[in-house]
Amino acid sequence: MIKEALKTLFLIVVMYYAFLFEMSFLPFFTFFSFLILFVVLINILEEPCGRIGLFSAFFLGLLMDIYSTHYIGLMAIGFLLLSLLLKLILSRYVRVGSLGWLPKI
Amino acid sequence: MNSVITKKRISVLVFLLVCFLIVNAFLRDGLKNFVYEKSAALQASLWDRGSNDSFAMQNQEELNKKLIEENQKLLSDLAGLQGVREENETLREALGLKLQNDFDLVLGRVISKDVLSDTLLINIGLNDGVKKGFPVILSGKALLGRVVDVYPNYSRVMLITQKNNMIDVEIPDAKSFALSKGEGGLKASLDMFPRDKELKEDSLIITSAMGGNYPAGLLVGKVKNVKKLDNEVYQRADIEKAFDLNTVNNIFVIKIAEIYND
Repeated sequence: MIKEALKTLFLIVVMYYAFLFEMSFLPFFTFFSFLILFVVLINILEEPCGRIGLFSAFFLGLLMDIYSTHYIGLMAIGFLLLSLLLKLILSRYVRVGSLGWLPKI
Repeated sequence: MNSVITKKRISVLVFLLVCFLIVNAFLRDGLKNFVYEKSAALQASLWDRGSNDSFAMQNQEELNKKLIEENQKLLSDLAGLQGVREENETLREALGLKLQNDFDLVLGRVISKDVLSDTLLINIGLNDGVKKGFPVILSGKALLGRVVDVYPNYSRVMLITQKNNMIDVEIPDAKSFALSKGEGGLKASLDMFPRDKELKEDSLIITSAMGGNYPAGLLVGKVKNVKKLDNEVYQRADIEKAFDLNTVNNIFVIKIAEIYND
């Protein structure tokens, strides 16, 4: 439990600074969002019942809400639902044995 | 119910939804302003660094050549305009008209760009007299966009390239009006230009006062890639915008008396 909380806290801090970097430094070079890719990857690689993917999706959405004109929570809830949907699809319908070599989070 | 969607998760979702409703109703602007304040210093230095690095990465030789060509063209235009200016002043004097007052400007600086849309965060807000709808320009009267959200010390600016952002514009060369339409991804296009008039490449595009959102005469960009299709009523073209994000640091917000069409 504590290990997971620490992992989540670490993830939040890293994501916050990465997000600031993506918004204030990267627009000069690319419009691609590496954080979205990062969150999708976490959700794919994590066990379907894991929570870190959900936390990261929610936190990224929350940051996007705060640093945009959206209502707070719109993207956060949206990303959370997408993350749940992804996990549901992966757990129910996808059986990819060849992904077994990828490190689990 | 499986391990992904559990009762606990659904109740957390409902709880979050209620929390967000309360936050949006009472704390939204204050909370955003607080978070921006905490990160502003770091973001400003990152923006400066990005701006400098991207400028250094550009092909200096090509840029220099382009600037020299543009400078020569501007000098010849300027020579032509000197005479017009004198004539204009004489006519104004004769008609008893006063020269147009300069804009009431507030200086600010860019802190960040939104990841998913063409909006910028700037470091001036309600406390500096900024209001929703105020136009934002660069030095040289190049139009950047307009304020869409205002917080106590920060504001959010929607760029002219934001998807579906329409601006009434004028093309002085063609003596005609049209619409500038944001395409997203820092691109904009010219639309609704009358088919029967000639639209030349590199013609300047300036704002028109017709729409009510912007003062007339702010530089929007240049006409590029004119498209005159047989089956369309209007001509279209791309717009080479007047600003380059790599060099956007300081901006000016124009305090206008009235916003007609916000």
